Amino acid sequence: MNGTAWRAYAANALSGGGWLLLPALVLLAFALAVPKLPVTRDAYDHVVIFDVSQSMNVEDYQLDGAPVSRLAFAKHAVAEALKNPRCDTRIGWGVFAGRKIVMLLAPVEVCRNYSALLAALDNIDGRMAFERSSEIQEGLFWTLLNVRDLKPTPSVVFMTDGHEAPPLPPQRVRGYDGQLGEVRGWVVGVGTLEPRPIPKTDPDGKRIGFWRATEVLQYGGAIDGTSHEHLSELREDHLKLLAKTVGFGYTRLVSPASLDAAFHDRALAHPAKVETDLRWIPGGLALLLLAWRFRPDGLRRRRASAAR
Amino acid sequence: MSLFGGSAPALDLALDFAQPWALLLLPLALLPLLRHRAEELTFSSLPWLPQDRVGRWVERVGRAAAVLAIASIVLALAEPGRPEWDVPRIGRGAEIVVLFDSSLSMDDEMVAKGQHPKRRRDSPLRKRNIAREALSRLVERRPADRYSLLMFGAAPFRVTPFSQSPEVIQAGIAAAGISNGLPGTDLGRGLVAAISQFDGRAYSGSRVILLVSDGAAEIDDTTRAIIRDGMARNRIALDWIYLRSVNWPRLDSEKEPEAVGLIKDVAMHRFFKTLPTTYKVFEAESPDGVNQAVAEIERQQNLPLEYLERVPRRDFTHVFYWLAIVACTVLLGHRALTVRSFAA
Repeated sequence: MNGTAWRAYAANALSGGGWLLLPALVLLAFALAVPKLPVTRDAYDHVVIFDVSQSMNVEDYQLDGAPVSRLAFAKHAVAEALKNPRCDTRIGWGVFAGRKIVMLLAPVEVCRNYSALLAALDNIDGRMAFERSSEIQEGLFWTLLNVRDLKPTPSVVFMTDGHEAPPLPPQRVRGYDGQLGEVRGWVVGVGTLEPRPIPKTDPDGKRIGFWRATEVLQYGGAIDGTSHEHLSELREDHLKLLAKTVGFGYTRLVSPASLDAAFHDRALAHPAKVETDLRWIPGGLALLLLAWRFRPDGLRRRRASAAR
Repeated sequence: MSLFGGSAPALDLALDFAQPWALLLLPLALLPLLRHRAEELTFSSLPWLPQDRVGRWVERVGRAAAVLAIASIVLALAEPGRPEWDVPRIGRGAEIVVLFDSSLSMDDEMVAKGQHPKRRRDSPLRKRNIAREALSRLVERRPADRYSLLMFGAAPFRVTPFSQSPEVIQAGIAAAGISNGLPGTDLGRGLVAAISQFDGRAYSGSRVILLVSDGAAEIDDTTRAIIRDGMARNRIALDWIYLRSVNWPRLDSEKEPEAVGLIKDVAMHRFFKTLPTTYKVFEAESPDGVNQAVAEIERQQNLPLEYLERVPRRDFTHVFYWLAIVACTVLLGHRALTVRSFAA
């Protein structure tokens, strides 16, 4: 076969819209050659700190029609919020009791470790309360101090009902002596505004009734009706004040979606190079070309006169 | 190349799509089957044409190639793959529950007897940091091992159950380094919790509780009995990395201990020796000592271990792009060989 014949075959192949196949082939080859490209995106490093004190056992949330505790709902909400197909978040857990925190897991990438992260989250419960008291202000300050030991410094999502035990007189709310903005994050208020009795548990987590008014330290000492430390509700004003003191945002946990404000707060994002699969771009363009090539007659411009 | 992964032992055809919504575009593949006016040839009388079976097949090949090209691109966009799966393997290693003492004293530096230990967060001599680094290296070097991590103070902290993910264990070890010391040292409850990690788990080889502690814990008799039973029932060996104070007598020395702290440590040691399963103590009084202890454990815990290796999701997208390229090439060849217009 000589050159002229080849040229005739090629011309035949490319005529009548056939040439569209050439760019389609190039695009497909491109998709194969470059599977992943590093793209700079917003990424998040969070440490979620759960208050595990006894007031978190108050059951003022509903899940599937059954009452669940504040802690259980907080865990559920976090697990739901992690079902995020964009692999842009690293997350770790810690618990708070007394006036300190214990870090359980430093942040790890969510997509690869989803099931292991959930298994670890599942272990968090009231038995981890290593102190009976719950000094939230101190706990928050300690958190800010501790997470700075992690590199890179993560942002903090602090989940608590704001119930200080022993109660904190207003004048004891102190200023934060660290540098504002060095650690950023959110305080998430867990609970409802209606005061409810606090279940009492033994060290093994078994329920042994409820705390009575005479068993807990009441603010001001006496029970004159103004103090009800044996009942617990979400102390939102206190938490808002604390959040403001350390430069955090505040949001109330109503549904798992409430966490989105915290988990995807652009102010907490840091740019990270993420290996991103971009094959869909050349692939999609190739598809477009082919679909155009075989588009139904209805979409073709009438060129009947030219053909005749 | 095999479409479903040639090395897979059982040809399990499980497929999933990372972007399943793209499959909605699949009807586009029907476009080439529509009759297009541009493909029609004008001929004066159809009955004059002979039956052309070859021609009809050529026509079908062309349409099939076009359908295949579009369908494969759509499938590629949906990013098909084989979901992650477990392959049973036999390696050398152990199932290790790391039981990490997180009491306040672990924040002390390792110092010689008589010196007052300092409690500095960033000190390289801080027991917590030394132990953490040694553990981290252990996990890194032994991919066949399965780890579970617990911390204990006054109460046990189940950080992670047995995990497939070395990344998560490392994150737990890293977190153990920055945590605050916990009040109390209830080793008894810690051990009971560590033993319970093996409950209901199929026996697959070697089981170890790796206790990392500077001692000074007391265990009451009831708990001792529970521990003894549990260790026997679940056939668990105990390795204790004992971060002892420099210059203290060894645990096995003949002399009865005098120092208050040492009395507790020797009592722990003597109780562990009564356990029905293997017990070894690795006494370390310096970062080097801890490293040697870990190296020794590495050498010893090398029995055959059945384990499931989690093979990550395997992406087949490229296969479908290849298919699309082949189909487009066939389509071009087909077009080269067919007459579509008498005018050209």
